[in-house]
Amino acid sequence: MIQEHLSDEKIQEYILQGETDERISLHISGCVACKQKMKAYSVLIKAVNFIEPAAFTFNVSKLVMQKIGIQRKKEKTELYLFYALLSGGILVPIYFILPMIATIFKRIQSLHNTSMALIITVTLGVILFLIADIFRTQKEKELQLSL
Amino acid sequence: MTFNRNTLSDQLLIEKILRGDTRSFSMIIADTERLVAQIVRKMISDEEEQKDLAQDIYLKVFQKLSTFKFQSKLSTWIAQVAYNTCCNYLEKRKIPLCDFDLLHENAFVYSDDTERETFMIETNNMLQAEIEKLPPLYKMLISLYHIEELSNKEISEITNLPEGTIKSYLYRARKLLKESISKTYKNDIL
Repeated sequence: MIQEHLSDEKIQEYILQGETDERISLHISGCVACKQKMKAYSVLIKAVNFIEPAAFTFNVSKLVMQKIGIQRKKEKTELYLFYALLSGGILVPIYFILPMIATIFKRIQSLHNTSMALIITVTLGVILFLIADIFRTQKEKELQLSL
Repeated sequence: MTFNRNTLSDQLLIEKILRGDTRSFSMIIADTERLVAQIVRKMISDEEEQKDLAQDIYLKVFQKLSTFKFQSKLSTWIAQVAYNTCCNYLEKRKIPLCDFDLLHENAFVYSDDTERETFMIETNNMLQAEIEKLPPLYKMLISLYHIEELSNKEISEITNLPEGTIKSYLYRARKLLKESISKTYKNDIL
C-alpha cells in the first residue's frame, strides 16, 4: 500500500485512466486528505468535459470567402498588368530594334569567339542569378506564411 | 468531435480548390471552425482581434494549401497554423503565454450567499469564467484536451511541444483551476 500522500499529478492521472490503479484505490480508501482531493479533481474534470465548446461570434466563412474573392480579383488584375507590361517590354524594343537587326547580326558575326563566350557566360550568369533570387524570395514568403 | 473528414476526401477537396474551385474552401472552414475557435478564443480575449486573426489564419491556410503534405490530418495542420498565428500575435504584443500574475490579478472572491447560489446553479459558466483566468496556453490546452477530446499526441502536433510537456502543463492547469475555484468560492465545491 502507498504510505505517503498522493501528488496532484498522480490523482489526476488516476481519474483520467478510469480509476483502475488498485494501489491508488487502496490508498485513497484509507486516506481522507487524498480522498477529498480525488473528489475535487473528479468533479472538476467531469465539469470541464461538459463545457460547451467556444464558437466564433461572427461568420468566419463569409468573411474569409469575401477576402479570398477580393484577393483573387487583385491577383488577376496584377497578372493581366504583368502580362501587358511584359508584352510591351518585349514588343516595344523589337519595334525599335527591327530596322537595325541586320547591322546587329553583322556585328555579332564579326565578334571574336572569346568575346562571344564572355557575353554568353555573363548573360547566363545574370539569368541564373535572377532565377535564384526569385526562388529565394518565394522560400522567404513560404517561411513567413508558416510562422 | 466533428472532424470526421478522412484524408482521402481532404485530398479531393484540396485538389478541387487548387484547380480553382475556391468555393469549396468554405467546406474546410466549416469543418475546422470549431477547433480553430477553441484555439483563437482561448488565446486571444479581444473579439475584434479574434476576427482579424481568424481571417488571417484561414487566408494563410488558403495560400499554403498546395504545400500541405498530408503528413497529419488537415484539421491538425490548420490548428497548427492557428496556434502559431496566435503565438506570434501574443509575442508581438509581449503577452506571455503563461502569465501567472494575470491569474491572481483576475481572481475575484464571491462572498455572499446569493453569489454562491448563482455559482451552484451556473457551475458551467463559473468554470468557464475560471478557465478564462488561466494563462492563454493553459486555457487552450484544457479546451483541446477536455472539450475537443484531442489526444496528447494530437495536441503535441498542433503546438509542437513534447507530449510530456503537454501532460505536465495540463496537470498544472487543472491544479491551478482547482486552487483558483477553491480560493474564489471558499472551498464550497472543490
